[in-house]
Amino acid sequence: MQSRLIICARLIWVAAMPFCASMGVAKAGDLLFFPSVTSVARDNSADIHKKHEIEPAVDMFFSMRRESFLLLAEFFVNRDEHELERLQFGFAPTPTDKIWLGRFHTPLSYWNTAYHHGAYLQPSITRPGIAEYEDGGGILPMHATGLLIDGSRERGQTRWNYEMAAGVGPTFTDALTPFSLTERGKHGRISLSAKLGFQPVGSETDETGIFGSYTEIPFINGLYTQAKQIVAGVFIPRIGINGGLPLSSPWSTPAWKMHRWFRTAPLPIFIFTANTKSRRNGPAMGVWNPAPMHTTLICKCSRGLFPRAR
Amino acid sequence: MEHGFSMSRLLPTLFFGLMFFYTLGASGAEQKLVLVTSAQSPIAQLTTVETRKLYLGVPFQVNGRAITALRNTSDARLQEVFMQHVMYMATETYERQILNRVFRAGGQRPPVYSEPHELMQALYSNPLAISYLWNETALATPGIKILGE
Repeated sequence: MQSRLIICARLIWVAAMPFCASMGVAKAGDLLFFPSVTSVARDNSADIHKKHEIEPAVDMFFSMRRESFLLLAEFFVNRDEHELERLQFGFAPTPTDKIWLGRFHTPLSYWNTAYHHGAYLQPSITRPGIAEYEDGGGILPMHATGLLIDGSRERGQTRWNYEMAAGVGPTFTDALTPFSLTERGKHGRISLSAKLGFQPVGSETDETGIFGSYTEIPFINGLYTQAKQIVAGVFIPRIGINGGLPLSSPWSTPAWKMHRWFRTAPLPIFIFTANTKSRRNGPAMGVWNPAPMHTTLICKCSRGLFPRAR
Repeated sequence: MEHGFSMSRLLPTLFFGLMFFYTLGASGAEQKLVLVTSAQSPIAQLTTVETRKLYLGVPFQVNGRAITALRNTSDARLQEVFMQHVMYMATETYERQILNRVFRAGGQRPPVYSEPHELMQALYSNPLAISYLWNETALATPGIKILGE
């Protein structure tokens, strides 16, 4: 009964958004919808993933700017969750630099800050393992709540982008659990992360760079009271590389052993993704993750719905 | 024999080819895309690179105030010429790029105007707004300043 109520509440929320748009929210800023249906069939399912899945979802995004002040919010709804994924209040002291307060996606991996929850924008059907969200079994702190500074500098025909974040990170029960703005729960400890990338001036997608983070993760139940996780990684989306090497303390216990999804991993992990350069949505793109070893047959149907910018 | 056969094919091809390029050149000369702003605007000039950045959502300021780029979709051909000659990309690619930028970095997409009178109102009301028109339209419209071709 309770789950039906939750589903009803989610449907009402989804139905209310276009109404809000027509009432003038869209006029105040940019209101975007990304509905998607993703079907996944795995030949060797890890324990937290179903062997066959059809996952309908809607990602809603709102962004506005008034002079130097910015507001940004992203709300994601699927069968299992409805969560305020991002809520950021920003100030732009210069045209190219921004200071944000709120809940944000950490600058860990290219995927996390380029595509967020918008399946419509990403060139592959599912996210690569290294960029998997916490509730999907991901091993990196993909969300944090606190301070984010980002910006760019142009040098000739190259634009250098930087992102630095400091905030409250996730806790660990049987998977990482990020701090939620809408639900009560234990909050984590410090999470520091940074990313540096470069791309040709005039391109929004062709970025190459490095990222790293340090996070203290308290354990709610379990073998340890706390883990310290350090991550270093590189991304070159042009050739399909988006990988990171996570290490956790106690240093003799590798990060992947603390997470169910990675227990069977024979390799710790540079995760490569194979995807096409096409920006169109296609039914036949794949993702290969060495951990856990499995092949995946997947398809995606997604659409971007956005009122005309006014 | 071989020579005569080739010439008989070549001459009409050359003739129609020249006519085609002449027609293209003539239509290009008639309709030229220009960058415009309000006559009251403090903006004196914008380069193609600056215009491209503005339409990609990169902030650009004049006298410490941000310039607003307005999209003119009232004429499909004008839109196409703008995308080819200024943005160097297809409209679909452009839409995806600005969507990607807003989704990643916040801010808003350039406003779109499909009605010419609404676009003019927006240009008149904001001296820091820029857009693009056909040259002849810009010359015939009072209160509009041409920034460049």
